[in-house]
Amino acid sequence: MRVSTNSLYLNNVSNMLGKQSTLNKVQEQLSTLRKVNRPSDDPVAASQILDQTQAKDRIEQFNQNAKAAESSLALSGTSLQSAGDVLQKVRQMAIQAGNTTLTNEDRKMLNSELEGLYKQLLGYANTLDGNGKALFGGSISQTKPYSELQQFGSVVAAGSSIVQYNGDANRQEMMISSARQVPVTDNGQYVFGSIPEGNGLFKLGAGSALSNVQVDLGSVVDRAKFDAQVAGPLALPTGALSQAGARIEVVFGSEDDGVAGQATEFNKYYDVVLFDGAAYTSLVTGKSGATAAAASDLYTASAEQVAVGNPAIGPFAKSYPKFQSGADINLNFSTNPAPYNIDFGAKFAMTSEAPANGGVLTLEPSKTRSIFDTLNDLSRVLQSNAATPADSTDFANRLGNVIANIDNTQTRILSVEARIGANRNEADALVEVGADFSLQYKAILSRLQDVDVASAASELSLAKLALDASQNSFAKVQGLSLFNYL
Amino acid sequence: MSSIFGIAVSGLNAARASLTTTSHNISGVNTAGYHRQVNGQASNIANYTGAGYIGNGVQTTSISRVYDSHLEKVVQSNTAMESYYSTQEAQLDQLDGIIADPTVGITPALQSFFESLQVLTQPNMPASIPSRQAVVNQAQALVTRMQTMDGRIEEIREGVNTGIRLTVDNINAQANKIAELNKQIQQLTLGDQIVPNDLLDARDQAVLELNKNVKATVVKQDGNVYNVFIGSGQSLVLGEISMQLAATPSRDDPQRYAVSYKENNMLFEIPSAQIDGGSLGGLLNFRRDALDVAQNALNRIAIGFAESMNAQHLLGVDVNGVPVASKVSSQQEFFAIKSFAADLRVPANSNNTGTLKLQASVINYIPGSTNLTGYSQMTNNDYKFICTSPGNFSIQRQPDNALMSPTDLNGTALGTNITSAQLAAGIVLDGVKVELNNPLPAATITAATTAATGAGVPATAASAAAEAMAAVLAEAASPASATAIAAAEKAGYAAAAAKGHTMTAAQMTAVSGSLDGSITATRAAAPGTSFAGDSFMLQPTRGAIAQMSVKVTQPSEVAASSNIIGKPVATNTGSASIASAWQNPVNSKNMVPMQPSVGLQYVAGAWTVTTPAAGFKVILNPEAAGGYKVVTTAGEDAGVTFKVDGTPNNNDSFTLRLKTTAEFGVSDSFNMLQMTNIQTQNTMEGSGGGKPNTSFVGSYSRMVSMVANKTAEAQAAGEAATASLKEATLTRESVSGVNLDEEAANLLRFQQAYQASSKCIEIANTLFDSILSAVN
Repeated sequence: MRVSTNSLYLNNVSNMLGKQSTLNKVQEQLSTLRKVNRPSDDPVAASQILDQTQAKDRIEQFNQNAKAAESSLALSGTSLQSAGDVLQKVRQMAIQAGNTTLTNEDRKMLNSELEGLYKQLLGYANTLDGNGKALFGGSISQTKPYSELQQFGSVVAAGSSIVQYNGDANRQEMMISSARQVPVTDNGQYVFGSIPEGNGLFKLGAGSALSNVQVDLGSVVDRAKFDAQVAGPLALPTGALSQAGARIEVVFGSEDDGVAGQATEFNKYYDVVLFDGAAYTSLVTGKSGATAAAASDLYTASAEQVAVGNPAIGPFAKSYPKFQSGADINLNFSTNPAPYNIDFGAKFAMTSEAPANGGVLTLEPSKTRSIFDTLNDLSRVLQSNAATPADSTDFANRLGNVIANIDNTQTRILSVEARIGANRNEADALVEVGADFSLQYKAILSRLQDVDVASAASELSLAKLALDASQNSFAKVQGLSLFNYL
Repeated sequence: MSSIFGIAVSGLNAARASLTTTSHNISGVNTAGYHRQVNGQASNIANYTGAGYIGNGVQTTSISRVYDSHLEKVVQSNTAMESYYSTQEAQLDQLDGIIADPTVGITPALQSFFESLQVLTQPNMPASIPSRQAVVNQAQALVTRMQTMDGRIEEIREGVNTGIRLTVDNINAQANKIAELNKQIQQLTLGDQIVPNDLLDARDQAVLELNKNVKATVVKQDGNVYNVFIGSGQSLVLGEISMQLAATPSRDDPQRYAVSYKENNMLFEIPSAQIDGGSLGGLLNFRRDALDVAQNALNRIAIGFAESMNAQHLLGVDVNGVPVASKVSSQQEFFAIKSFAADLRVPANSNNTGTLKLQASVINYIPGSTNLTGYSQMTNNDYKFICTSPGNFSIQRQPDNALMSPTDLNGTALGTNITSAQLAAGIVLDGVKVELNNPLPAATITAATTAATGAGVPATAASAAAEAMAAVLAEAASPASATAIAAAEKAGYAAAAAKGHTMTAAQMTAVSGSLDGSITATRAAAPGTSFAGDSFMLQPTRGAIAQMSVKVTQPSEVAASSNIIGKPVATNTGSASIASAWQNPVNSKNMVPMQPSVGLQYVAGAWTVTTPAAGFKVILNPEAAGGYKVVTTAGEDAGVTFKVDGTPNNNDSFTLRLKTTAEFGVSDSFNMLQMTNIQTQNTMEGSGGGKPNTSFVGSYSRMVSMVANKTAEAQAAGEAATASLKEATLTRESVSGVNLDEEAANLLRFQQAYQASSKCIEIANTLFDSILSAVN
């Protein structure tokens, strides 16, 4: 082909430009150590780099979060452990107080020791973190969660409390991985405040005229049935046990043995009466009325006139069940005709030589009580005298309730500690996993954007060689001209 | 004897002419567009003798260019192609260089902003003023970063405008030159053989230069005149007349330059798609397919980001315990994004003869949809509203001109013909509400406030309620549907409650009735006129970033805490409490009303919603946070999540309600957690009624990928075009180019011929002398 003089230049110059551009690109890659220096170098990698960088940065942020969570949880865990230790001491003291050989003075000494433990526990509930923020105030961390309303050991009116909780029910939460949001603080209301009383579901208490009896905590044998009755709505007579004022009353009385002229025998019987806040209904006999006495003869202290099997005692024509000390009293009336066929799914046992006629034991769904009130209850118990047998059974009942509440609190604290431990472990594990992930993402990013130095270096020398060859040959060729010889 | 002289002289002349042409070739070696010339020479008519014809010397018959018109055309079209791609590449390189740059790209700033939010969720950090200050600073940095990038894109756009102007000037200059050359060539051409070679070269070169600017086709007329056409057949040069192009601000959008065709002092805009090739084609294509898309995408992401952050931030409580929703409306936004002139987004064509004006804004939720946000449905497109006959419009998506069928504010499809009555009521197009530009007069709110105070509402509560309700009703069709009225009343109750007044139903009816009436009346009043051919260019995202700002300037204003609280009812027998509850933004028609409260009950192991009595249920929260979520009976998010601590007993009840300032806790960061989650939530790119399927960064990386692909494509195509231009040029050069060695050889050759002819004269002279001496 004919070659014009200009083609010679055009060709060579464009070759050299092309090679310089290659050289420049390889050189840029080597100097930045990245093969994607602008998105067009590799459009697919460029958009992946953005996505992966966000993923990596987020993992690293979650790692920071997990570390912060871990240290916050560790602080809460330590405080709770100490609080648990205090409660253990209190429990031992309560058991020791039940020892009949102790004198009133001994118990008063225990009481002053108890006050110290109470203050310690209050201190743990009011723990501050390094920033001066309360650990157990929920989200209201700027004020002390618990402040004292009354002197420890004083009489607290029903419905009020010895302390005031200033926090809320909130827990701060945090993302420690893209799929996990965990609580990192706790609130005093859950840990110390809302502890269920008694056996956790219902609470037994002496209603009236009943002394010298010892009652266990009772238990629920069928939770579903219990829940159904507590929550209602019951067909009988109107509301549910959870309704204000509603309760079950177990009333005791003695019965004539039917032999005329003989002295009253100590055969004790009981009746179970459901009070819905308005009316009383005996679940044994089916009698009902606006007053207790109208529903059951046993409320009348002198009742002695009810004969066994007397059909007149109620619509069901049933006799009252006989009381046996220490035996279970079952709150199951499923054999009654509807709508009285109620099974509360619960039972309790009572120990007594002879419950007084007309004596009443009440049963209500559990309310919650703070551990500080429970400790105050214990103090009140320790301050009471146990002179008479009646006093001492009352003492034992109250102590029993206090110990139950302490146990409930311990269970609550242990469960919170367990959750904190689990969250700490999780945070710890996520820190490890996060570090691994972060490495993975870095590896992915490196694969996407980093240059392979060895191959780039050899590419560079190749490009250099090519350019060199172009330049050399051009210099040689362009010197050739016929005019040189003219 | 004389014949020898004559022949020798003719040879001498021919050789000299050839030497001249060779010298001309040598001197033209570096002239752009020069074609080597060759002399044609032929023998003179021979003299007849008895012996036959005796030769009579030679003469130069022609001086012609070595020229192949096909090769010229190939070079021209390849020049247009090469220039088209190299212009695009040069522009795309600028865009490509900034979008993923670690110092200018927005993803690092986005990450830093969300990291600063994350810090506020760390234990007992929500109230930390230094950490909150960091949030404010990072928000500012993010907006600055977005504005820097948007500003760079604007600069590139300005560069394109300048480029278009310069190119058009160039095209006009070349057109003039070709027309002028046409004239001269016509005058100087004498028959087929005698042509002004150098002028032909100059004209071809002018055509080549023209092709660098725009693809031009040449039709040769009458043998020697070039008629030049560009685009889809617009004539640029017709014989001795050259048409003029003009680069002027587009009538559709004065911010961009368009190429017009000047005729009788009138300008006719040439649609950019009809201009192909050359740097003009490259610039227009870059602006249409890369720059507009990238800038729209960037602004769309900014709108989505700001709207989603604002919506969640609105549901929070600041560090002083003040709910954001109770602040005055100007302080409710985290990022200001809406407060710019609405008509900026729908400029009317400057040729419009009607008076109708449109305005556009991003709608909160798509009407008729569940919880689809307006910004999630936005596209990177602009839309052209074209009046087909008075009061009737069709909407063409740009740049593909697809016909759109929007919906009304209730979600009913309207078809492709939109009437001005429908525009008066408002239409929704890909997440954007377009309506007549007759803004709510302040008088409507004043009238409603008066109606409220008349019904016994205290003045502050009355104006707050009227303002809040007007904001809702302004978004609704007129007259407002029962749903819209209910939504407005809900907002009104909340606004009044925040000012400490609980409005009664009668008071509320007075306000909503007054507002609805005056809005309907305003809308019915003269919507403006429109005539066939009028048009509007809807640019939904235009200017969003430029007008964006951070409204939360004090660290205390960052709303980290949830605005709702859950409380157990006093008669509960279980020990459960509501540990935390928070709201997330949802469509108001799905939202469970927080005024006065939401009632929950735990029945037979499951949660139910007791207040409101119908329409909502509780499910396990499927998200990472856990807990329970209130949803509509249809399963749509109702905007409330709560977590329960402890065990509820059967039938235990709880209420969720707005938090009072006294109940505010500084370590509550549930709203902030929701804000941090937005980073990776799928909030963007759901256009066409689909659920959004990517995050901000995902959406951004799609834009990066689009630009990168376009750049890589232009680079590859540019390289190919450069190579084929080189090949075409070399081929042409191989035919028409000057080779100096060849010319050197020719010099020697013609010199020898010249010398030889001289020798002939010498010999003839000698012969003559010998005869003379013989005679003498």
